[in-house]
Amino acid sequence: MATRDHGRRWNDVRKLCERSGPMTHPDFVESDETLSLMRDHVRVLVVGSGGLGCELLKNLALNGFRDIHVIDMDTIEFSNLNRQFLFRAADVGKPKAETAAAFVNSRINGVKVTPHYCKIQDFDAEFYANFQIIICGLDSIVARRWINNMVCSLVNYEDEGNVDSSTIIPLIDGGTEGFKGNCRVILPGLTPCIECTLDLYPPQVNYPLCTIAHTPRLPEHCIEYVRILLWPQELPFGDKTSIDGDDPQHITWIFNKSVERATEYSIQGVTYRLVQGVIKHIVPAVASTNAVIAAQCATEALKIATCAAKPLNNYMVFNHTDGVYSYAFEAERNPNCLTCSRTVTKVSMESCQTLQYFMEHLESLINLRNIKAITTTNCQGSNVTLYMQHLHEQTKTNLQLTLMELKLINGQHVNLMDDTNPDLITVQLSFI
Amino acid sequence: MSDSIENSPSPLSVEKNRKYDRQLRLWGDHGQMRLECASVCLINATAVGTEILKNLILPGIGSFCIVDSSMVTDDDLGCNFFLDKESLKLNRGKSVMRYLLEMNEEVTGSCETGPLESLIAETPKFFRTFKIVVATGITDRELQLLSALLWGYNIPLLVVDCCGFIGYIRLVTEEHTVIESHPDNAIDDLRIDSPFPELQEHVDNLDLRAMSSSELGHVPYLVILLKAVSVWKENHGMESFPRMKDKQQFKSIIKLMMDNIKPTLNGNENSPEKENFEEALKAVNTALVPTKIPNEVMEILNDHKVNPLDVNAKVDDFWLMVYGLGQFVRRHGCLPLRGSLPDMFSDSRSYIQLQQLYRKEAGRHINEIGSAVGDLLPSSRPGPQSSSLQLFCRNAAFLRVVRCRSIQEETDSPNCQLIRYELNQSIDSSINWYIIYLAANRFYAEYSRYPGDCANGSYESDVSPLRSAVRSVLSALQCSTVANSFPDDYIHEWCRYGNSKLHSVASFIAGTAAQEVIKIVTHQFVPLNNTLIYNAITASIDVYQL
Repeated sequence: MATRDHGRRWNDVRKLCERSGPMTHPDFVESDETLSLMRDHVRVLVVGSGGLGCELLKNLALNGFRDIHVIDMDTIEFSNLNRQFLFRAADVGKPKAETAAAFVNSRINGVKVTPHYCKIQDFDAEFYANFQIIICGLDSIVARRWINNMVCSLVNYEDEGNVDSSTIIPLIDGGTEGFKGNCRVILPGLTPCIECTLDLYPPQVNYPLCTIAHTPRLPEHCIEYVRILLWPQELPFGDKTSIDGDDPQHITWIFNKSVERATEYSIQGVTYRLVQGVIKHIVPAVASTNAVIAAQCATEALKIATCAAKPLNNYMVFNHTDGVYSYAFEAERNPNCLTCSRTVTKVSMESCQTLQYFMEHLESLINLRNIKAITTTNCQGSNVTLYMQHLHEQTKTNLQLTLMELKLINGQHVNLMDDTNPDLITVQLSFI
Repeated sequence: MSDSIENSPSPLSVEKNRKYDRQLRLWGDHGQMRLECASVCLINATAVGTEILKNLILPGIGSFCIVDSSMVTDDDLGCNFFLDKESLKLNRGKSVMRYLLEMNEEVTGSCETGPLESLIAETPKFFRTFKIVVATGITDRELQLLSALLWGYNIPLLVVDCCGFIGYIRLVTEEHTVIESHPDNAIDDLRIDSPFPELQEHVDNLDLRAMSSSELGHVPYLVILLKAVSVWKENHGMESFPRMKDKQQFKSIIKLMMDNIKPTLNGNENSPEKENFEEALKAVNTALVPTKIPNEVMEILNDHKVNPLDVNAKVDDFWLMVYGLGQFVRRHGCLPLRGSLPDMFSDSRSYIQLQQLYRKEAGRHINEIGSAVGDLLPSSRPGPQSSSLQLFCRNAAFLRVVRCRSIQEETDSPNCQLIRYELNQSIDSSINWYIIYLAANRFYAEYSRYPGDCANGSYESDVSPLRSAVRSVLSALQCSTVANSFPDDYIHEWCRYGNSKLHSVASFIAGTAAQEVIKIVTHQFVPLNNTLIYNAITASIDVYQL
């Protein structure tokens, strides 16, 4: 392992990692080996190679990390180029992870960025357990929760119920939206996880169907009318063709029809840009805010890897619309957290409700997304599949049966698989 | 974003619309055009400096010029993304050009390799071409010279630095006006306490008792509130208006109206939703707050720039429009109507009708202010464009003026009161870092190196001289009384840093600084006033008006 790349270039980083001072972490040890140890033994995973990801790769490499992996399932688009600086117009269409890795590897001597052009779900616990620090630069809450659930599932508990700290992989999570951003440090099993603080995420704006269908007032209502009601009726590009937000022909068709609808109701304000924004759920983004949040994340990574200073405890918000505002607070753990508490969540339900109703109720009650499987253990101890999307034909009749008819009893544990969890989660039935 | 201005087709090319889409949604085509016409000067291609440029080049700044006379060192390679080994010992400004420019082919750039002081002394007019000058890693002496020059030219200066885990930004601009401040939480401009005549007429002509249940269930809550106010006036007198203390009573009027929704005679219609009435009840809290002119706007109206207004001086259109606004406010006692409505549960026609009423009235106000401005201008001077006037009136409640003291003022008459207050507030006030930052620059002036910038074994020996520098800074700030209680930890910590530049800290402060540049150039969003301290350990930011 040729890691003695100790040219003078790392002098500044070494000052911070290797000199003692009053503001280091309590666990700081003064040693001239700290940077080498970090470069040799700390493998970092960056999840997402977009606005935050590109900045993260640059920051981590220049902070001294040598072994960095990056996952991203997307390819490069033109609209990325205003901030994802590792990509050029000629790269449009290429995989983000691979392009980003190649760029950083060629620019910065000695770093090894390994790309993974695939989904986070393509890897298992064994893969994620290989990293010492995981940093998320994602634009999806579902994906964040999935990673959070994965990392929390890796934590082992000792006999007394204490966390085995050697199984904790710190998770640093960054997010931006326009000129706002946040960065948080999660020590799974010790500090609040993503699931603990789900209510910090504002709900998505959805317009009521009756407004869209009967009483439009805003240009957005007109656009949603075309998306939800008109397109499925007219299927302008073929029977099986659903809306592709990246296809200008689709957007143009939607734009024209939205203008027609708006004209009918004397509504102003339908523009092509607005149509794209609504159809693609576009979130505005700039280089500067992404730079800020990714920078804090990378600083946290260095602090955690070297104890050069105490990490953020534990949630920072940032907003530079009016002046510059930033502050950090200590978010609290949810003692009944579905993910990181060691208690089994109880779900109250009438036994006369159908399985379908139960699943829909679960989705809203504990924020599950798209339940793919629901199983339980019968009194003989064998696994019983109640419903599985994968085996829809074989299991769909169960959806209309009541919980009682399915022979489920009060206190029974039920296992679920959904989009936010890499693994099964368990809840306990409580009949009312 | 408001309509009509944005309804017109984009003046930007298809390619630019594609590339810049995500940022155009924040500052619009007009903001983008201002960015593309701007030229920025960067003093010193440090890590902070080049990251600031990166964050300006990516969104499409017109052009930049780097002034840097230093050579690339190993330390630079360790923290600067835009250098590689081949650049060692070459001019640093020149070396970063290629990697910077390749990020956006629309941007042009150049560099000056001579020393800054010579440039200031010999060709000061060089700086007049820039919209703003960003300075990183300059000495106290360079700062004095540069800031005095730029203040004279009325060009904003942004000083940006970092050391270890601490970042520093200082904005200097004599006056910066903002029409589009884009506040996060603006109160709607409904004028429930002072409905304009056409609105009142419209509401009076609506007979709620003659409506079917379905129609009643689709009356916009704005109308419901105004009807309820009419009932209130009948009971309490025409001059009376419900206040917050009358909230419950006012809500009962609405509830009574709500109870009048009866199911239809044939019984087929489901009992209608009363969503609009629920909205009305919820809106009572804000509706009863009297329409008032925000303090910040009052201050602008009373600003010396318009009292009196010197039309013949080179006064910005902004002040001409403020003058017109002042006339309007004097005559009517309120700001021009914003003209936009929030969405409200309603049938389409009723809502659009209301919207049109508000738009027409707002249009009348814009014309009135436009005339007032036109009247005062000599024929030789063209007035503000109608699109600017429209933008101005729509944003009348959000106007902001930022004035940052000069470096000279900060040095000659420091804000001792604020500093003393901060020092007394908490032993861990971020003002400590400001004090140390000043002290470190004094240290440099005396020893030609920064505290702790030496071998690992000897950085602690800089603690004592840095402590002396801190004392003299505190003395200059008339804070000698607290010199003994100044936390020694901070001094040790700064020596530990040894002038180190950690890339991620540089990147954070550069991201923040770059956005301030964009605010100055686009005149949108509100710049900080005037000193920012960033602490990467606590992940916190403090801004002081020093």
